[in-house]
Amino acid sequence: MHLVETGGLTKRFGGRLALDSVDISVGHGVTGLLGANGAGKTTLLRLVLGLALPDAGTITVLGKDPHRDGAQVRGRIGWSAEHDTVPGDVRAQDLVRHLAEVHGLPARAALGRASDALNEVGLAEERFRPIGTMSTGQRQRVKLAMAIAHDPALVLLDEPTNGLDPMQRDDMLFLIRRIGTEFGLDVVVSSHLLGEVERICDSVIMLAEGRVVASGRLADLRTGDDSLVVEVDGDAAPIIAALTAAEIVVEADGTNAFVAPVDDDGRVFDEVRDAVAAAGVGLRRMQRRTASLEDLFLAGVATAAEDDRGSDE
Amino acid sequence: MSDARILDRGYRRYEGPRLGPMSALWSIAIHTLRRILGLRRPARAKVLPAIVILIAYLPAIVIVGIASFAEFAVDALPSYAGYFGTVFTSVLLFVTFVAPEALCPDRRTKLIGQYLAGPVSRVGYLAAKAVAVMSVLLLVTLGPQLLMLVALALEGAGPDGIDGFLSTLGRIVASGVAVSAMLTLLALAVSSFTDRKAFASVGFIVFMTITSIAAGIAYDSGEGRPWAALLSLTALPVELAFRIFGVPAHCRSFADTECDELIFPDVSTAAVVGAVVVWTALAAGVLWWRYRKVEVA
Repeated sequence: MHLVETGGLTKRFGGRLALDSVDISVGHGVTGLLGANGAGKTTLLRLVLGLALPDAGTITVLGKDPHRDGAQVRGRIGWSAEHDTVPGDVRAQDLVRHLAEVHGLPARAALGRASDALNEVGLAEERFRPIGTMSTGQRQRVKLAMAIAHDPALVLLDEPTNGLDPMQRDDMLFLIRRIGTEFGLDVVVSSHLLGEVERICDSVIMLAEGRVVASGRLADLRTGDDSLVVEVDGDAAPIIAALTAAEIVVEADGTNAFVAPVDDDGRVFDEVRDAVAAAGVGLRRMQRRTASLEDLFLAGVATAAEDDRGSDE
Repeated sequence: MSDARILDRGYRRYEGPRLGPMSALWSIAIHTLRRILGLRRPARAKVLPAIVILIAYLPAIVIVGIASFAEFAVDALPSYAGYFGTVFTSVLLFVTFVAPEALCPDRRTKLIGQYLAGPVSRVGYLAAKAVAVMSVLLLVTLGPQLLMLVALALEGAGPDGIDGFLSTLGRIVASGVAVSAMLTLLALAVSSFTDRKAFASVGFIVFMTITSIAAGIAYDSGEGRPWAALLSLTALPVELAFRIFGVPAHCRSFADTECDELIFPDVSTAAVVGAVVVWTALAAGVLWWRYRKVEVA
C-alpha cells in the first residue's frame, strides 16, 4: 500500500492553478518533495493533511480520505512546519510530551517517548531547558522530536533545514536520513534544495508550477540514457579513433573522458576494453551515465514548458 | 569502579493504546491551564495569577473571619450576590490577563499550526481554550462564594436548613458559571484580534469600558430606552448574579431586606438573561469567525 496516492489532484486559489492534475504515489523510505518556491509543495502537504479540499481528483493518505477522516489521518502523521512553531518559555520535554498527548498517547507513554525522542535527536542534556534559550539548530531538533515522539506512520517535514548554518544543515540531514533508515519511519521532506534531497532521499517528486515533472525512485530516475562514460589516465584520442573506426559514435570534448552509446549486445564494452588496452593507458572510470537531479529537474521543467506551448497553440 | 553505564535504547516503535480526539482536547486544556497559572514556567509567570486569586479570596476570608469572631456583625456582611459586585473588578482583571495568555502565544509562536496539523479541529481547539480559561475563572467567580457558604454554614451563620443550603449552592454555581462563560468568551473574542498579549489585554479593557460608557449615556439620555442598560458589559454580569440570587442590586448586605431596586430596575429578568446569552453567543461567533481561516502551513 502506498502511503500517499493521488489521482488528477487539482487545487486552485482564485484564478491561479496551484496543483494541476497531480498523480503521485509515495512509498516507503525517505521521499523528497522538490520544487521552487510557489511550485505547489506546501499546497500538496496541506492536502495530505486534509486541511484543504481538492477542486478535482482524489487523494488517499494511509489508506484514508484525509478530508473526511482528517482527525484519524492527522493523528498518525508527524508534522514539522517550515517556520518556528515552538514557544520560547516552555521546556522542550514539556512541549514534546504535550504534542505526543495531543496525538493520542496516554500521559505516561507520552512522557517516556518525549524523553526518548529528544534523546534520539541529540537533546538529552537540554530537554529541561526553555526552548527560547536554544540555538536555531536545537529548536529545529525539538520540532523533529515533536514530529516523531508519537511514532507516526508518516513524517512530513517542510523545509527542515531553513535558517540553519552549513554544519547544522549537515547534522539535520543526517538525522532525517537516520529517521528514515534506522528508525524505520517513512518521511516526506519538502525542499527547494536539490542537493539536500539528492543526499538523503530514496525517492523524489519534482513539482514545477503545480505539475509533476518527474517522480520515482532516485536510483531509477538518475539512470539517465544508455550511455557509457569512460575516463582514462592519458590521451583518449587513439581510443576514440579506434571506436570510431569500429562504427561506434563517440561524444568527446577534448578531455581524457568520452561517452559511448551502449548497444543491445554490449559490444561497446569489448571495443572500449580492446581500444584502451591497445592504447596502453590506464582506465580510471567506466560506468553508465547517470543524470543529476538538476539535469532531471531542468529537463522536466523544459518539457512542461513545451507542453504549455503546445496546448496554447 | 562505578557500575553506571550509558544505555542507548534506540528508537522504539509504540504499540500501546492511542486515545481519541477528546484526549487531545483535554491535553490542550490542561496545558493551557498550566500556562495561565504559570505552572512549570519561570517564577515571574506565577506572580500575577497568584495576586489576583488572593485579591478575589481576601474578602471571603475576611467575611468568614468576622463571622467566626464577631457574630454580631454577620448581618452587615455582603450577601452572596453582593460579593460579585465586591470582587468583580478583580474578576475582570483576572480575565483580562488570562484570556490573552491562553490564546495569543499560540498564534504568535505558530504553535496553533502544530495543533491543527494534528487530530484537533478548529472548533475543538477553541473549546479546549475556553474550557481552560473558564476553569481558571471559576476559581475567582465560584471559589470564594463556595468558601463563604461552607464556612458560614459551619459557623451556623449560613442559609436555613438543607433546602436553603442547596438552593444557595445552586445559585452560586449558576451565577458563577454564567458570568464566567460570558466573560471568558468576550475576552477570548477580543484576544482573537491580535497575537500580542498586551494589546489583547488593553483591547479588552477598552472594549468593556467603551460599551459600558455608551450604555450609560444611552440609558441616561431619556425614558423608553431601558434596553440600553443591557449593553453595559461591566454591569450586566453583576446584575445577572443579583437576578439569580433574587436580591436587589443595591442591597449589598443581608440586612437590606427592604430593598426593591436593581441596577436596571426597568429591565425584566428574562431580558437580562437573554442579553447575557446574546453577548455570549456573539462572542463565540466572533471567535469562530476569527479562527476559521488560521493557516497551518
